[in-house]
Amino acid sequence: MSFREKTAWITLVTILVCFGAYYGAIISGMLRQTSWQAFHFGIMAIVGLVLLQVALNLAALLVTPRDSRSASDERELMIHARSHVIGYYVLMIGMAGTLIVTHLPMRGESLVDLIVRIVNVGVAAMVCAALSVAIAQIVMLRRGY
Amino acid sequence: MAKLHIGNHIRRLRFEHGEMTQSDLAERIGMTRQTIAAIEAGKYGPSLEAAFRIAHVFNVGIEDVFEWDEA
Repeated sequence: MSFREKTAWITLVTILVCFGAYYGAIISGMLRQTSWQAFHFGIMAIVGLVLLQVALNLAALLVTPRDSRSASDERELMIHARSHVIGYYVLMIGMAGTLIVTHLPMRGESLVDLIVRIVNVGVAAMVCAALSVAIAQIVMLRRGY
Repeated sequence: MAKLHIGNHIRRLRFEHGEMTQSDLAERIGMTRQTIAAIEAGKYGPSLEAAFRIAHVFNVGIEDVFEWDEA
C-alpha cells in the first residue's frame, strides 16, 4: 500500500472514530447537544482527531519513508483533484441540508438549541465531505484511477 | 471501470531492458510504482509528457510503447 493510500485510510478511520463517537453520543441521546458535556466532547473529538492523525501519519511515514519523500505524480494529483470535487459536492448538499434544518420547526426549542443544531449539521456536512474525499481517494488509488 | 483504448508494451520493454522493475522505471521518469502499474494494466492513460519520458527511457519512439487499441 502506497503512502498516499495509507494517509487516505488514516483520514477515513480517524474521522469515523472521533466524529462517530461525538455524533453517536448525541443521536443516541447519551448527551444533550446543547450541554457543556457535549461541547467538551466535541472539542475532545477535534483534538483527538488531530493527535491521532499526526501520530498515525508519522507512523506511516516511518513505514514507507521512500514513498513519503517523493512528490505526488500526475496520477496522484489528478486523484487528489477529482476526490476534492466529489467532496465539494457533498459539502454543498450538506450546506443545503443546514438551510433546511434552520427552518424546521421544533416545539419548545430555544434559540440556543437552534444554533447548536445548525452548527452540528454544518459540522456533519464537513465530516461527510472529508469522508467522501478519503473514500474517493482510496477507491481511485486502488483501481488505478 | 472502462478499460482505456490505449494499449502499451511497457512490460515487454522492461523485460527487454534488463528486466527493469516498475520501481526503477518509475524512479527514472519521476512517477510512483503504482502509477506505472496502472499504466501497464491499461487503467490510467499517462500525459503526453509522461508517455515521451517512458519512450525516452527505452530509447524508442512513442509509437513503439503505446498503440491505439481498436477493440
